Amino acid sequence: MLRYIIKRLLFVIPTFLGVSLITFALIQLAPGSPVAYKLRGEGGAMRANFETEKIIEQTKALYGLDKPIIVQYLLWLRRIITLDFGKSFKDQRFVMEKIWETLPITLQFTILETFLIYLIAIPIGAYSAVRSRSFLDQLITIILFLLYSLPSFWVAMLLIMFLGGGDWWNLFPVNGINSIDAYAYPWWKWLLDRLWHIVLPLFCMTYGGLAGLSRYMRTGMLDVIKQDYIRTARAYGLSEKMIVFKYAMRNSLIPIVTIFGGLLPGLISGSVIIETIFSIPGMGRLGFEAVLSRDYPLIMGIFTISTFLTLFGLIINDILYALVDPRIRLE
Amino acid sequence: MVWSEFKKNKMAMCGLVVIFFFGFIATFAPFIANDVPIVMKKNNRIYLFPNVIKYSDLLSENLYANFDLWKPAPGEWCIKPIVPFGPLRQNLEVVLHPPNRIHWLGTDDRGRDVLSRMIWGARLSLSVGFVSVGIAVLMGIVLGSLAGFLGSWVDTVVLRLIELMLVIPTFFLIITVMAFLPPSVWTIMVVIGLTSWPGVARLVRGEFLRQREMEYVLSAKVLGLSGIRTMFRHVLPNALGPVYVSATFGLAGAILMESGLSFLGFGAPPPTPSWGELLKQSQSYVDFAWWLVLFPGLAIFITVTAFNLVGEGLRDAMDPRLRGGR
Amino acid sequence: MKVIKIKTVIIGVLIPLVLLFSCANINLDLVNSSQVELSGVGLSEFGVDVSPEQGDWLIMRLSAEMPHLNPLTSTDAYSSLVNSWLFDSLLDRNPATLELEPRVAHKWEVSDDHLIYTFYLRDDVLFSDGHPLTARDVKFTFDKLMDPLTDAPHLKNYFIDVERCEVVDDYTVKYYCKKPYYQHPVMLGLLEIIPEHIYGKGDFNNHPNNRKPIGSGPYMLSEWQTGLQLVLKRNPYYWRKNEKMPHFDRIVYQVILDDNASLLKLRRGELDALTIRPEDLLRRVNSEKFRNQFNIFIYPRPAYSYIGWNMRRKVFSDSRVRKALTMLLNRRKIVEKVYYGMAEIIESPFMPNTPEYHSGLSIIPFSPDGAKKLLEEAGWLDSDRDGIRDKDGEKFYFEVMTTNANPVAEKILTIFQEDLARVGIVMQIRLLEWASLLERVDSRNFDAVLMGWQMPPDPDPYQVWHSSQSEKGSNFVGFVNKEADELIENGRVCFDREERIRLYRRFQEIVYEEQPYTFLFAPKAILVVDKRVHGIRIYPFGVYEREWFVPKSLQKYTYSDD
Repeated sequence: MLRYIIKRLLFVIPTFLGVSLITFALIQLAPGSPVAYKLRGEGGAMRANFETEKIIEQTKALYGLDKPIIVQYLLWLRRIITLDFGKSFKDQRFVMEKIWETLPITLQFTILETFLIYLIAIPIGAYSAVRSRSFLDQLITIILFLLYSLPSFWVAMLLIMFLGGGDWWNLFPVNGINSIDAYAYPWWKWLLDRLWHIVLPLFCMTYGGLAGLSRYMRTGMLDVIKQDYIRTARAYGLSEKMIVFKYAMRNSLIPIVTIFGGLLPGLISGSVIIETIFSIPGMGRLGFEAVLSRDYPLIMGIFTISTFLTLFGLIINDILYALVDPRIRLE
Repeated sequence: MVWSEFKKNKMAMCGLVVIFFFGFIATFAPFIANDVPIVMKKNNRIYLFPNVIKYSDLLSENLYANFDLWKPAPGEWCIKPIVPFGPLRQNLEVVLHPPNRIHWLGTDDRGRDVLSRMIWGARLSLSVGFVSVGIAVLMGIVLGSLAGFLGSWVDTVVLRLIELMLVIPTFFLIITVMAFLPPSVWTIMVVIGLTSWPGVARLVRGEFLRQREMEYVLSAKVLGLSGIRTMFRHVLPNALGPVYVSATFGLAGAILMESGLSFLGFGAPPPTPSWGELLKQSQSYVDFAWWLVLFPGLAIFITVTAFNLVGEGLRDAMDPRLRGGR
Repeated sequence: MKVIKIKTVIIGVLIPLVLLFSCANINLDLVNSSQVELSGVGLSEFGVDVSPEQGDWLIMRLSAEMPHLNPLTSTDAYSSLVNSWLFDSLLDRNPATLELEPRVAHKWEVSDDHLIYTFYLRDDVLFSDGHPLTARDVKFTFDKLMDPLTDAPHLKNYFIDVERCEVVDDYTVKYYCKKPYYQHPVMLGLLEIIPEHIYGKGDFNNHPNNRKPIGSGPYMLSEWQTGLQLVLKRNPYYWRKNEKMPHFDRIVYQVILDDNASLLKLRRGELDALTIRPEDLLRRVNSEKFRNQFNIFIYPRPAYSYIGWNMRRKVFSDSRVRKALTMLLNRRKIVEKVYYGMAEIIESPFMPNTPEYHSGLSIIPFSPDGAKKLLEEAGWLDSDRDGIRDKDGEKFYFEVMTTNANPVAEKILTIFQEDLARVGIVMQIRLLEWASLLERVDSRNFDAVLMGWQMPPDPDPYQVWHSSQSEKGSNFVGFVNKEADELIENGRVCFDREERIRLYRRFQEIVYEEQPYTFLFAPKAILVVDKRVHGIRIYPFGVYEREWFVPKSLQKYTYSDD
């Protein structure tokens, strides 16, 4: 077990090197340069004489883009080892600072989202399994699939239109995550205000995930129900309620728990479209804008963090599996 | 056997019917919605299917670009499709008209017929779905079976590759890769395909590993059949079941992905008609041009649901555990 | 919300077209019923006969958040918007006459050879932390700007011909220039001054005060909630305090990315001023409630759009072909149906309705027949009878690029595409993200491109039109014309505006003849302001929020720091 974990951890290094090298090369070779973006982004058209060339060269040197890509990559690696992610080209702020500023906002959405999905999907899945192929099971299946198939940006547009105080109801705010004067509120009011603000985007992020998990639960539960010990329990005349909650449910939760590891990377990558529509300053937009403005250090910073989270998530997954299911041995 | 099981599932069958319906519309789009006639008589000659065949004498008059202005002279005639508007044909006099007798689903912000664009958009959505999933399945099967069959270092390399794809956020990968490639429908298909093979590869690899130890494979070995033959004649077909299921879900995902990309401005180059593009347009008119919001949204929704239902039906039908109910 | 944009001075500020076009289309029924009224909708002024009073807040929208607020290193339009409240410059531009006026400098002198500029500073100007503003801060600002380690390439290149800055005494500063140039007083006078005692220490590019700016402007930053809002409060040390300036207690900028969401906020009374899209106005112009709640102002934006033809390509090397292409673009129809009348057709790179614009240039009409004739004259015929024109075996095929962030550009191009196809020209549309588009334009790797330029007052056509800029500068279409070069060069050292206008008129005639661009539109802004806000005037280059105020009896927000 321990050997396996160490082996897996060691494998993280080559994967990380591979991913970072590919990303680094990819974004640097993509057409468009951060220097040109800075010059033209909003500001002036260039003068094409000797001195302007000089300014371009100066800026390149300032950004460290005057060296060959491989040297830049090695320099970047060396800094990464000391956890120095560098500064964003856009505003020269530290990449880590920008990520730390954005992360809590995204985390609160993703954690709530995950929590809600589990809270709703597991009972639904269990119910569907117990009453498999009943009318209600089919109805739930249909509803969940319908939800799963609705494009979230479409739903977001409709929600804003109907509930955002247009020509219909004025129930929810449509931008940001707090009211303009929320900083003066007492904590409980602040919290309510925050919740009121995130209801719509949270809904858009959540509804699509219900189908997958509840299906997963249903299948797992069906598996368990077929097992001998459940049959035995029935034969002993235990009540159906007892069987379902005490035995079947508990055992079918095992596989669900193990996919938790896979959620790690998802926690920090927000949804670009939903964040844009609801003006939420989250990780999705941060990454999207970094890619569009060729902000190499920021892109690399986000990629590095999400890479590590994904890799550790995979390892945790495997370990959880082994812990939960004694039939699996890690080698 | 799978089919007979599948047939019992009414919802999945409904899904299948819907898919065939959209598939039919997409295939025969030029005959359903077009301003180029199906049959026409001009210059004392009858042209059959000018909507799919480019006749050189019509080309020389540059008629294809001007069919909306062409009126048959005496002695000439034509039969136009049931929706007599081309998907690209603009008419600035009828901009943003709500559904009416002439334009059944209304017009968009350049006076293009929404129904016509939806019909041709089905073509784009479905072909993006099928081609990208085709690419993903092909790559997945090749890499997955190689890994599962050969094992050792090949397996390690493929596993690393899968991990790599899992690690890089797909969306950003797509946007970055799109910057390199010329904008076209094919680029989108290829890019979505290239980023969605790992799931299939893992499935195939898993099946190979599982079946390698099964009795029939072992007995085949004992009988002296070659390993490769056994693997590809017997193991692969058995491994394909779950692949079909995941491909069906993949289709739904690819269609959603395409509409999301279009919505953000990374879709097929204009004026290509697509459902996502219509939705993107509707953003500017969301509180009054309801036909631009509703119809393409519904189309995406129905297609994606259909694929998901079929996928679910397939899974149920193939999974012996679920057979025969409780 | 466009304040008069004076920081980025010289002509040709290439801006993302997102800013340029936020206009779109409208239901035809609505169009017909309200077109007549729309022309009467825009006010030219409101509440200017009431004397200004202090108090209340002004809440506006930012459609994207700026990374930081440093007048030297910030590159986006949003930060210059906010910075104009926080920082002072030596001079000011009068919004009505566009002449330079005293601000921090109460007096300035120019040497006869136009190489030395002397500014005499007021001695009562304090930064928002109470420190006095002196000549040393002015020199510090300039030196910091030109420091190779400062990340400000976009601004640096305007100051290349300024040699150095010299402190004469505490309140006198001298600039030495290498060449005479009529834009120098504008550039030097409008550079926003930062305090040395704050920004002189530490890493300038990532200075802690980039997020807590300290300047000598009328306001100071009170609070910045990342991604949500910025709150500005009065600068207690502001030097014009006794003149009852500034008017508002607070200026609040809310970050709202989505257009629909911000319109909702406005209608809910949570925003006081917003520029909206034409279709938003048309939907509500007849609504009693909307008109009772808001005043509407319509004015030209100082920007224009164009399609630039890469004259290095064989297809576009002939001016007759370029003119034919202009004739194939139905600009009147587009103004009517796409901009809904909220744009003006232009024929030259100068702001319409200013003296610089050559009003004698007639609009080239939409005329497919005229275009066909020109194309045939130029030798573009359909010789192989396949419906596409060709010449010497080359088909008339080209690709036009624009940014994917701009729905209006795409609309214009698809309309153009259809009219081109009708006469046998194939145009492919390619939407690119901004960074890729810049790369293609800078490397001259394009056939045609649809983009926009901003038009400042006092423009200098040098960067976009001088032949020396066709290699690497902004003359990416490769326009080379000897007479135009001479006119531009003479204009740069001509210090008499009337004389310069004469030179530029001839220059515009040449550009009109040559058609290196097909000039498109100068779009108009539709500004909606809450009725309680008074003192609003429309100037040639927009509105000037500094004059706005709310009379005491109408004030809505009462909280203030005083």
